[in-house]
Amino acid sequence: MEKLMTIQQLLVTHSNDTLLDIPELDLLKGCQIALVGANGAGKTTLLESILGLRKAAGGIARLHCAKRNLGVQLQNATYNPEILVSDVVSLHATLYGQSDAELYDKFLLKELAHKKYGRLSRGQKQRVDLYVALAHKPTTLILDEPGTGLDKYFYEQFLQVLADYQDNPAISIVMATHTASEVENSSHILWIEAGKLQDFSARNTMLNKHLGSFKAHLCYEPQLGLDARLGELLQLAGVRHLRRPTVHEAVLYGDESLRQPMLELAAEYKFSTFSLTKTDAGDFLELVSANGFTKH
Amino acid sequence: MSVISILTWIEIKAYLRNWGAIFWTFIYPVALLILLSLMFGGDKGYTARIEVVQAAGNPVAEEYIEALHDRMDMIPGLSVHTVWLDDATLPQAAVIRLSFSPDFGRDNAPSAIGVEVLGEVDANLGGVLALLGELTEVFNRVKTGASQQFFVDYGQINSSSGNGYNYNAFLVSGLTALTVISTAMFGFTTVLVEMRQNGALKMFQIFPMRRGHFITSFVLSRTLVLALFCIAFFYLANVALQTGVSITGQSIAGFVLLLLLGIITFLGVGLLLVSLIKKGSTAIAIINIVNLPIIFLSDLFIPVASMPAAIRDIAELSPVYLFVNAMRSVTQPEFVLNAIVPTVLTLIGISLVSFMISSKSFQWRTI
Repeated sequence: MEKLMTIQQLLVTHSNDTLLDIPELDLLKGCQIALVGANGAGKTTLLESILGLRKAAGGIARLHCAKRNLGVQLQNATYNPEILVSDVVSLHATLYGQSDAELYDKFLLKELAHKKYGRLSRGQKQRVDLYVALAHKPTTLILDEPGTGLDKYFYEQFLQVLADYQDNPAISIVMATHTASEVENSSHILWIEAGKLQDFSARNTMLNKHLGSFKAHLCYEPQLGLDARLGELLQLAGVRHLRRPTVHEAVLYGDESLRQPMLELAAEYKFSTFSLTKTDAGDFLELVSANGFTKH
Repeated sequence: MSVISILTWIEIKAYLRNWGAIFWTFIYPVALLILLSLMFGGDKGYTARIEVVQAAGNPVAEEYIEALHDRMDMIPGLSVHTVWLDDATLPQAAVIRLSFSPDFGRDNAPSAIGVEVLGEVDANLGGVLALLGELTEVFNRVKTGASQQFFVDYGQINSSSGNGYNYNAFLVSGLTALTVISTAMFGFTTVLVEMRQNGALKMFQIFPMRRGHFITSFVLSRTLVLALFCIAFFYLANVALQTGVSITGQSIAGFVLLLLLGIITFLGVGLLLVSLIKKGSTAIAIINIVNLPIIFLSDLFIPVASMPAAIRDIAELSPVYLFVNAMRSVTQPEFVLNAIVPTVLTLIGISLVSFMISSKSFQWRTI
């Protein structure tokens, strides 16, 4: 498979702080990658470095894609605040030689056409930015938290458009996200934390590796004194991770071998809530977020 | 439509929607014009424009000019604006030209003060000529004990135009030049630096377009707005204030040439500053620091001729001074295009250097 981007010894710094330090990473064309990490992990910095918007202190980050085939939506990219939305749309049409009336209608840009870009709300700007990223039918999409600010209606419109791209194996997507559905629909997950590459693999492999296929969720009275039992369970070979959202709540992640000891535990204690379900992308994002929180 | 034309049109519209830009480009010069013409531009005042040739470096001649200023200042409603020229072969543009020989005032030899008068002598000009005669006599008394070393040698150049230099005409051409400079500084440099700082240039790096397309469009949009406004401002202000400036084919060509070159040059300097400055707040601070002395030394509000010789020498090196004076010269009777050749060449040189450096060093990003 052809390479989509190449990173070698990439080092990005700002005022003596290391924002990004990635020794080596190759992404292939046709992959649909969810870029995850806690707030401040370096997702935007990575995307901007790949796009050449940031100066690297060392190394290289190269995107192997013609500008005409590239669709980009960035969190902190803007336009002259005095420019009208209709100007942005017509500039896009001139630059790419095409527009997308269907997408224009989907994002209801007609109602924004005569507004200044600088006067738009976060969600309205996001609709314009997504139109600019998608209207020329790019083969490579770089999106930075595309759902931010969108209300339910427009987010669903966006997911529909995205689904069409995701159905096409020739399309490459790199999308920074905190949303489970976006991770769920990706083929790969790229996890960065504190500017370093934590892991990169196919989505299911990533979920299995860090969480396993099962999760047990229990809520209990604090006087039950479950801490010791939970500690023992964590020593079992198949258990990957224990999360304590509150003092009387625990979530254990693991593989198939987790099922039997958890059923035994449920029989032994009276839990107000007990469930044994399959893990999903939302659980993985919880892990990413918790991990980031610990590191901060 | 091409990328440059659509981007230029978008930038023009965006510029005209920006209240800050509208203020600096359109409101500020008109307000200043009204204010200054009301304060100083009344019919009672008379400013004699005098060219001084080959006097710099000669202490006696400089003393003579200084004494002339002192005399004029003592008479209400009468003032003098002197322009120092090194080249005696330049065609006379001012109402009076004073010429001093290199050995003026030395070795007790007779020293003539050449006085060339352009056009008809009216009451105001007659008063100035009388003052020159009286001053020369005083010089003889003080310097030589009335031995008549210094004398006045009058001459006249015919002209169909009037010979008084109206303060309002001085003001209009000066403010036209100021508009070009202030817009290049505040409506261009700070705007571009802030746009870059706020991430408004990021998408232009992503789009399938060249850096030159963006820079050309941005410069072109400001050039068109400024040129159209300055032409309208210059014409309407001269008509409204009845300055009676001389308009010939050569003066129109000179004005348009200087205006376009001035705009391109000062936008080029603005672009150079954008290449060097990273933050919007730094841009505003630096531009204020640079702008104030430039305006002070530009001959816009305070005649450079009235400043000490050392400051005058510095001021004359400023492209703003050259530009302002060249803009004023196009409204003079007997203006010929040759008179602005040195200024035109200087502006072309500055703009070439500015754009060459900017094209290499302009940064889309500061991080």
